[in-house]
Amino acid sequence: MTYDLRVPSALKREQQWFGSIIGRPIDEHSQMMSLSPSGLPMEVEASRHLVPSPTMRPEQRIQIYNQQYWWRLLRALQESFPLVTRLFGYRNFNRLIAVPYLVKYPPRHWALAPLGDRLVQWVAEEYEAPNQQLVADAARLDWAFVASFTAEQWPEMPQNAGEEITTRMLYCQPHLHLFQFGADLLKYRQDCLEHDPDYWEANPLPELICDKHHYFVVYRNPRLDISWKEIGEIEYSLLLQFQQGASIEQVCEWLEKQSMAVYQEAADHLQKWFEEWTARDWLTPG
Amino acid sequence: MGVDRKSIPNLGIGLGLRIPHYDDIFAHKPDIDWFEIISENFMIEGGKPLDTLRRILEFYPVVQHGVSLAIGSPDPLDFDYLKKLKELTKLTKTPWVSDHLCWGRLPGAHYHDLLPLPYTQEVIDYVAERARIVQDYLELPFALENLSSYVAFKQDQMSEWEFYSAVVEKADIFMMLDVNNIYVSSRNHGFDPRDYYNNIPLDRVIQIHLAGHSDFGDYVLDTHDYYVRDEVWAIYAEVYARTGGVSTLLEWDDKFVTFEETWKEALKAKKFQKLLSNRQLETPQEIIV
Repeated sequence: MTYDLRVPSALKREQQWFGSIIGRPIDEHSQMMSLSPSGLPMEVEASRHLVPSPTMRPEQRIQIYNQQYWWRLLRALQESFPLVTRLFGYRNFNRLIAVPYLVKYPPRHWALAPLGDRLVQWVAEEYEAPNQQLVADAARLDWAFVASFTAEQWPEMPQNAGEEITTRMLYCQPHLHLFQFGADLLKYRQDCLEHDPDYWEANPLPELICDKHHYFVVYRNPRLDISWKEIGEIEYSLLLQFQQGASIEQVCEWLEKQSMAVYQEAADHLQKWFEEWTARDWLTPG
Repeated sequence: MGVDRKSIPNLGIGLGLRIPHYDDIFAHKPDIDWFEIISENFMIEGGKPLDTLRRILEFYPVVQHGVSLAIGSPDPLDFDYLKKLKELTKLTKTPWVSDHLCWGRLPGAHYHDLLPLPYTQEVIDYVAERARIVQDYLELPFALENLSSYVAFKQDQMSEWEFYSAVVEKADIFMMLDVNNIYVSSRNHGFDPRDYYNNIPLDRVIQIHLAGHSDFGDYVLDTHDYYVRDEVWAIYAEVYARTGGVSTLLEWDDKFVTFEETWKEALKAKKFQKLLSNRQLETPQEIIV
């Protein structure tokens, strides 16, 4: 992105300065950094650009914008990542996750909704702690709920499809997200969300039992609310094929290459699954 | 003016459409003149927000108000954004579109705030040209809203009302006058609100915003989380009468009260409209007394 060629240079300079101040993190007491990016005390720096009000000095005045910027973005991230926020509590979520994330990936879109679209990536790149896997899974799951809510709706499956449906490429709806976790993370999320983050700071979090692999679909239901359903491993594998785009014929060819047990289970259930996926509007001809 | 203000309808008294009130609205279909939406909340691919908007449009006129145009930003106008905005106007049939006289972006960063501009002639020229382009592109009357602001720049060459007036007149667009913002800024900068509304082209005002604010003593913050203060109602009464009557809207965005209570607050506007239609007052404070 570049500058408008017509922008007055004095305006551009003032805006660059303003942005450099308000984009810097506030401290735990919501106070602005005491030194400017150029190393001057903020009261000196601010008075070069701003005038005082009858009641406030220039640096106090710009601090209002510095605080508003961070409070607004931190609140938006907390709302987008309710499970991650509960894993840490508000204060530590801000300190360990949200602030370092926003420093590395400041908002670049005109809508606030995509603010967290790189948090999963940031966790993989920057967050190193024993609970890294749980935080990464929780972030992926939280973000699926956000992304699914406003995802595009592609055409429904035709009601009376003929023979040609077996060769036609099919896809999962853009609002559908598939997950494989080593624990029942959806139930865990539901339990955590029963209380606010402050409650979980004072009480132990629910126990996360890592008993076996769990497979889930997070999707938007016909009432346009976000739902989830636990599915089996083979059903998950088949939906994964459709998510990348596949015809029924191709999926059957893939099944033939799997073990006899997998093939047999799929053969026994495929018609029922297909009917359910269609009824739930998980599949689309694109 | 390219578009005659008289051709722009007075929709009456409306409310900002907010999620906590959806259930009440759909259950009772209250007798509200119109709703204002935040355009960006519905410039999306699909899902529940758009479905809700379509249901609202079955019963109510809807006007689009934006928060992300950031018209005074130093980067080029974002035509991907404007295209989506225009597409939404086809759905809503909004009679006009508004946003704020502010900036909010730098290349590579969006601040998600309504940031104040320096009040200089070259900024007037820059913003007015862009505002005219926006109005032409949208093919609808376009209005800019005055901000609540908390800083003033050393390079300012004029008052806020002179700057605001010059931008809308040079661009030949309209004013979406937020009377709460006039009050908030008057407290933060130490001016008399009457100097503001006595010196702007009120014939360009096509909509008025009302809202509550928070008083922190040293400064006042535009929080939209409380009832409209008496001082703001006083400004409203004066401005409303002088405009000859324009669409009025209450914004309530945080610390929500019941829908009934919110609507009751908006309807107070009728009292101030009637008072001034009966007689001309010496000062707006008379109404409060």
